[in-house]
Amino acid sequence: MSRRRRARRVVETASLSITSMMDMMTIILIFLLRSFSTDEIAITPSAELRLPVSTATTRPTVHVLVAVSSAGIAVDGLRVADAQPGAELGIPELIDALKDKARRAVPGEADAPVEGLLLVECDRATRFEVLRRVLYSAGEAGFPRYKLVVAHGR
Amino acid sequence: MGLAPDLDLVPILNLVSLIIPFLLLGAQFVTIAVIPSVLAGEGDDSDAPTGLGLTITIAPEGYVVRGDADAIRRESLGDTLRIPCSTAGCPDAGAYDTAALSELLSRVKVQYPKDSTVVVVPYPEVTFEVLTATLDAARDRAGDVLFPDAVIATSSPGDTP
Repeated sequence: MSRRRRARRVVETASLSITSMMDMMTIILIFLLRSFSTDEIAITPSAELRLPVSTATTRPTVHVLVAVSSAGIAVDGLRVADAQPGAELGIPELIDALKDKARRAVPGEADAPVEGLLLVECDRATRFEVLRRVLYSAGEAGFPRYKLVVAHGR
Repeated sequence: MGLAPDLDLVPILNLVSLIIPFLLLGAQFVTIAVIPSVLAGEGDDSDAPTGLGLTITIAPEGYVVRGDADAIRRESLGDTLRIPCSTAGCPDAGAYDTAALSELLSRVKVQYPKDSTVVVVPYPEVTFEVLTATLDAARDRAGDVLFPDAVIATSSPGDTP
């Protein structure tokens, strides 16, 4: 009798209800589709670099990126100098880094002047005396033109 | 009466689980824009200088607008007009009267419709946020293009009255 009961015992498997998970995934998917960007360049502001809000609508294009924040001055993500005001307008480390970028852009013509273009990403609280040094250094390194990166809004 | 079969959502869940990381990599939660710079002498439609010489100095106490325009002379009896901050001492970017600046520039634009260049001279202690707000005020107003070509002077305005 007990053997027949054991034989008739049905192994039940628990089913997982994934309806809630599908709801969540659908909402996240729609949100991410809304935020998806097809720009040539994606700039992610960091915690120490808060961009000012502007009404500008021009989209960024791929250029050398100089980021100025309280953490320092970085060229394409590589920190090169401190972001401090100084008596001299030029920042030697920044000039060297940008000249190196210019040389790599024109292989074989190290001494040729390069009319390059910079993207300057700056924290909203950065004083102009610091930004002025960055722009001056960029001009000395062969990057007289620049575009100021801002967050579109307002 | 047979029960309807359960819908198998596992393949859909697999697909969504693959798409979401891909979309996360390309997601941009802050819309980025750029304000291009202009070299001195570029931007104006006409080759001949018009004589406007529009300059906006961002001082710690407000804006100082300089230029040979009737809109400026009418209010200042000279070629220099000061627009003080709405709050004494200009404690933050919002204290600068960008609305008044934009309105003044729109009147200047009526007299000089072909001019599109403005020289912006910030004081060393002015923040980047104030500079950006000034460029926005000079670029356009209510859809009308004002002076979108901004030349940011890197020289010290210490000698500027």
